[in-house]
Amino acid sequence: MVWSDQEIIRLSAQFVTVADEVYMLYPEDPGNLNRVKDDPAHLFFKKFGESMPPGDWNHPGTKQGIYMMGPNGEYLEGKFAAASNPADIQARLRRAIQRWDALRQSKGYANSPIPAVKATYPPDVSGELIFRVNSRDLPRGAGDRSGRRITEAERTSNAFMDFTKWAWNETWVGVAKTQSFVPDSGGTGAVPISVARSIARIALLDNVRGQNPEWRDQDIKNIAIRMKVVRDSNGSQVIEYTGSAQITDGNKSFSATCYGEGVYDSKAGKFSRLDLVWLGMRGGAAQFNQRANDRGPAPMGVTMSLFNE
Amino acid sequence: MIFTLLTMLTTQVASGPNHTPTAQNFRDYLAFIQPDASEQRYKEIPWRNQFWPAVQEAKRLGRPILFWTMNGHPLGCT
Repeated sequence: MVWSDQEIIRLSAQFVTVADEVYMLYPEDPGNLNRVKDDPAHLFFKKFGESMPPGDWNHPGTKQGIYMMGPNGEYLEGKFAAASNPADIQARLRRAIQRWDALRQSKGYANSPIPAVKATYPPDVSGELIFRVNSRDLPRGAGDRSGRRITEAERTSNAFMDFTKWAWNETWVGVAKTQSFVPDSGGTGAVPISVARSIARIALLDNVRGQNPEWRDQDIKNIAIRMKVVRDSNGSQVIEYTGSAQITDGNKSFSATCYGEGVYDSKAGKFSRLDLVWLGMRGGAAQFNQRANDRGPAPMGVTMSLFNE
Repeated sequence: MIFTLLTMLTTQVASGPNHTPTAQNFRDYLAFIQPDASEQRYKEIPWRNQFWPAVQEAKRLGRPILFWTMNGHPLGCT
């Protein structure tokens, strides 16, 4: 909601913009906190937080939020748990920019142009194939609107609290080797079971409405992804993928079938595109995925699309 | 309006509850499930994906930092 606001997008251009996970930067448990106590990133963020006005920094407790700081951690603006109100973030950005204008003059900061970077995946995702994974609810019957888009009226109102009506999610999964998705010389094959199980564990789960931890290996009861070259034109191959998965931990579950296609240049050894769609029934609820009142079974879709930078 | 109606008539996304991906329908399901441009406006902001390197960059440039942080990476929450 906040980051799709056009004015916020415009104001953010004054900053080096960064998104990162906070629990390991400023852990809430004593064990991990002790581990980072001398880490310069932790100390930098801690010092900034302790300079914030009371009520805007949350200690002890979650440090999730939106923060604006000078290059040496000087306080400009910010608030914990502050990603839901565009008007509030606009106001904080404007105050931060005013404070920055005074600060940069007093300290002689260069305020040099900020190089553009493309949005990318989290740094712990790696492999020759990087898949963007999206999940969304699917219609449950005639007239049901599960999986619909947010409307412009909802986007600009406080209706964001009803996000379950239009929720979707995006995560990432890396596959070490391109060849895992290429059939053998006979034109058919199966994605290695270890790769398929890894994909199931990380990607085939219900995070449509919120956080849901990865499956344990023993939860993956069955998974198979078969592949077949269906067209080959002078080394440019179209590969078809079909498969299925049954996953359950006794509470949560997802059973799905898969179809996908990839375009593979066998001379270059690279995919130009590779998309898989998993459709099936999910059930149960995790602690933070907002399914306590919607335990299913209900249909859900998960897509995997190759990310080409 | 007409385009929306035509899209609704031609999509192969089933009304449910049963959904099965096939060669004929899987691109319609890709379009249904994957976020459209309006849902991805947040990517118009050039997000660096690691806090400390971004701090070092801000020091070099003499620029302020806008830090969006969550439990779980904001660019790929699970």
